[in-house]
Amino acid sequence: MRCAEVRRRLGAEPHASNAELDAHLAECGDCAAYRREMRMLEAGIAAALAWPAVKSGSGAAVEHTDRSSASALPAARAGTAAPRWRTGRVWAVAASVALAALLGLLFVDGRGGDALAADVIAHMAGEPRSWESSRSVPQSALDFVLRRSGVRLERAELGEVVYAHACFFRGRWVPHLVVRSTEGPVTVMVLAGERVRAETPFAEGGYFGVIAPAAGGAVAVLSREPGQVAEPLRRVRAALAEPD
Amino acid sequence: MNDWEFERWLDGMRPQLLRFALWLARDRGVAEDVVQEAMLRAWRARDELNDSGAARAWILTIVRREHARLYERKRLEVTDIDALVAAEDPALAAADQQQIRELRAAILRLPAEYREPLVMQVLGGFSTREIAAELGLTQGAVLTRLFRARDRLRGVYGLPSRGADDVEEEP
Repeated sequence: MRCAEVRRRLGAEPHASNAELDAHLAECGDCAAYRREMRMLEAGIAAALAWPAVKSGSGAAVEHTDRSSASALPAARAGTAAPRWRTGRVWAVAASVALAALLGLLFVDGRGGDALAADVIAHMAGEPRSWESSRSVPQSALDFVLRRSGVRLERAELGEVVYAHACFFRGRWVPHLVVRSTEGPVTVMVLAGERVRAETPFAEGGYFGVIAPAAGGAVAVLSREPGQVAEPLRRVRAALAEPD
Repeated sequence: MNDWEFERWLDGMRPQLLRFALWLARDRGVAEDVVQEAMLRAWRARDELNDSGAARAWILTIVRREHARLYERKRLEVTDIDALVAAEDPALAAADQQQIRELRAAILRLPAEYREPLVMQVLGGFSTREIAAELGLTQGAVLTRLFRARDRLRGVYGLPSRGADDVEEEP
């Protein structure tokens, strides 16, 4: 193997290794030095490409932040972070399957809200921290989430938003909000494009909620205590504008 | 993966996809558009994903194709790479990070035909054979482009060029 061939290979793949290449490197000091240089450079390239920083968890969370920090990504190198479904959410998947099956038995009114409720509750299992928020989300952060979801919403009508996250749900981006009400926090998911014919209440998985028709689709409102969703539902419907 | 698992996985992948798209597009807004469209395409095509072990490469390929489909012909020019780097990471001014910062700017300045295979290889984890298949090139041509890309970056690290211009690209 000639030096030019070796360097062309190492310049393209600094960690390449085979018997012929290794034999050449064992005898050629210049090419061995070139490999050391290329591996040093490669470490620099990897560090340079590990940008923007990627934070673990969902990349669209914008709780208490603005758009620039919302789109900052985790410190782990791309490719080294295992997908969440392979690492730590097995319990959530199992719970969601069980809940979905149970809800399928509970809601058989044929109005479409049953399966949707099951999916909403399954989704909630993946974001337990959403309930912990207590500080108001900046308007810019809420705007970012709503823009990504294509939803128009009048914040003044809705109340104080303490969590805002653009979630990928049933093939669409939807706003997942936590709103502070006089009775306590409620979760609101605006499900644009979903169709339900009537209000569908549900109580399962530690949640008390309702799926209801709303401008542009449907809306889900959930609470952890019974009897707290009627007024928030009224306000959410009033806050939602028809899509363009 | 069932639909719920797929949805959660896809949502969790978004930061990595955005990073990958940003290196291809060199524009935050374009990268976000590409990723959003790619995720929707992936959702619609989720039944095609039979091997969960290949999921990452599958979705990165969708992102790359989406970028090519939407923007490659436009060849968006980023006029101020330094401003882009500074806007994306203003905390990166520490002296010990200066070399990485310069390398980052140098990679962003690489022509797309060199930057794309490099990003696919280092960030995406694609083999040269996979890159060749995806870009419609021979494996030899990909090796040449990767060599030339790194050769241009050697100077940033204070290393002399080894004569990339002497390397002919295979058809």
